[in-house]
Amino acid sequence: MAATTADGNKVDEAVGGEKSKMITLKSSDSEQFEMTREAAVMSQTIQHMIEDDCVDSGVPLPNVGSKILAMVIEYRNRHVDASSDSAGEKEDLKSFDESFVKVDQPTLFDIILAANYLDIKGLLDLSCQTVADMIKGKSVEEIRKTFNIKNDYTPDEEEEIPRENQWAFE
Amino acid sequence: MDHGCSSTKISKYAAEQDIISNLPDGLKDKILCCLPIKEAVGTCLLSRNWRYTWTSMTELMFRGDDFASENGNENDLECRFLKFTDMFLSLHNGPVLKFGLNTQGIEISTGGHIYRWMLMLSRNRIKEIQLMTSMHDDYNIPSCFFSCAELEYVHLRLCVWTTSQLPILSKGFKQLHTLHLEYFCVEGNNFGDLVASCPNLEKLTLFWLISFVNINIHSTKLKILTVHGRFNHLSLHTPYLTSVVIKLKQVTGDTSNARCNFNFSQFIASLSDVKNISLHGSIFERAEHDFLVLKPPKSFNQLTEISLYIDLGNLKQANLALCLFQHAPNLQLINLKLTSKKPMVPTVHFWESIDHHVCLFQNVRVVGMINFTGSSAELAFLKLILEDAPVLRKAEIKDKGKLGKDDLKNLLKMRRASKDAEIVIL
Repeated sequence: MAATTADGNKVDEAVGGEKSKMITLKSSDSEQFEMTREAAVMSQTIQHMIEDDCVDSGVPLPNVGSKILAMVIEYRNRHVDASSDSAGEKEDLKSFDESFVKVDQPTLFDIILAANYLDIKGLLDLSCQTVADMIKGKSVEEIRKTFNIKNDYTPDEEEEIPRENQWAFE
Repeated sequence: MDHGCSSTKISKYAAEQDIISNLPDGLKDKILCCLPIKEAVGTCLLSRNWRYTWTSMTELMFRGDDFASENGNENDLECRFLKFTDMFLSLHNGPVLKFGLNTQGIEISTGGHIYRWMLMLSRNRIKEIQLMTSMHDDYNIPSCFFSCAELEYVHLRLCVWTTSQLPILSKGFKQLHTLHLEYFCVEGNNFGDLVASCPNLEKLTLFWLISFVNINIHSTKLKILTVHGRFNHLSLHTPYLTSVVIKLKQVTGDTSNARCNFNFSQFIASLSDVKNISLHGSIFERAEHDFLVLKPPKSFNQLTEISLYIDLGNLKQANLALCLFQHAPNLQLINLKLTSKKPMVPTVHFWESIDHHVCLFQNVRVVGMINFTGSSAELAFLKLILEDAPVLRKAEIKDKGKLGKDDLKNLLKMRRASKDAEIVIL
């Protein structure tokens, strides 16, 4: 079974002696990714699948495309390695997270959906907070523009709502 | 890493789609929960899809400082905050899993509102509650609090517990794993009953307990315990703790009046899995025995960190400390906050008489001594540890600025068993 990793190398190590500790993930467009069992279980979904023992021929992830799966794997590998408590490591991890989410909207939402499906709390929190930060402090019109939200209220409704919810807009 | 899309045509189309409005409800909820609550409600203006999304938020955090007005007019802050919170909760529709209130630093008096909010939460299968009110805004725990059977995490500040409130038929909190109480008052002696009714409690923090009561804590599940405050009687039966922090606060000027009983020796002797111990305030001073009854082969094998408030020149306290050190073969970090009182009897040369070459501190890597005065007992202890800690990396000494230059120089020159040991004076 041919196996490619996200950056196309380190395949040989995977196929070698550590085989029992590597898990193969299959994206929706049938690309395959190798990762260590340790990193794989950061996803509750995958952990349950491992416990249920259905991962011999690889874990099928029909809801996650290869591009996003590659990114999720990068995130997990980075976070699994960084388990020390040193301040320096924490700073590095923080910068990694910050640049990790500097992507276009469709990608960001795909990450949210994948993190939700794979049940990876850290990534889900990070990506949702990023979207929230894109909403914070903006006016209604600005938010609509940022996310391409179509205003389907009638002018009457637009007047009525703030009056109805005056307590929220004081 | 190439994060770009495969073709510009597709990316342009995708960029014009309103993806956010079509996310599953649970994810929209999660995003709203990351916003300040006022802005979360504001999303009702975006489009029809968003009109009532805010009403099903599951995690609510009401912060007083989100309501500070731009023109700096603070007079109606309390009014606006309370009105907002009341209206929000009455229009909210659906389960509330987390509720947080934070008015620290803002002068808001929540008054009877907490009772009403708690009533609403008790009907909502609440799992986490955080009430952090501002300094003079204390409140009684409403009785409906005890019907929140699904609570897992509770953090309350400035609350008042009275015995009469612990309902006799209360089922307790079967799912509660963390209980954190700060600046709180207990009236009556049934606090132990509350803990006993929480069979899965793992973390208990009592910070700034401000009344003189008896505290009896019995639990086999409790792992992390912090007790900080003033109490008449403390009885702890929690043998499976991994972390203990106890600080007995003393009223200034009160030396012997407030008699405090603490089953210190028995408690320490019962801890087998403990990883770190911190004993501050007058614990050591008030311990009822001079020694710990530790039956061999008892040793604290998991203990890696100790932090003590200690008078090294006091025989009883020195004995207790030595007992702990002798039974903690894997100790790595020692932190001592030093104090000294005029000795009642002439000090015996305690630390000097300990054998210096038995690797007493065989795994100790770091030692810290704060409020170092250079007294003979302190110097003797420092000498002991330097000479008997083969893997010591750092000895950090913080003096009060009273040590002379020569004294400091002598400290830096002290002999040490470990080649890597560094003496740092702050």
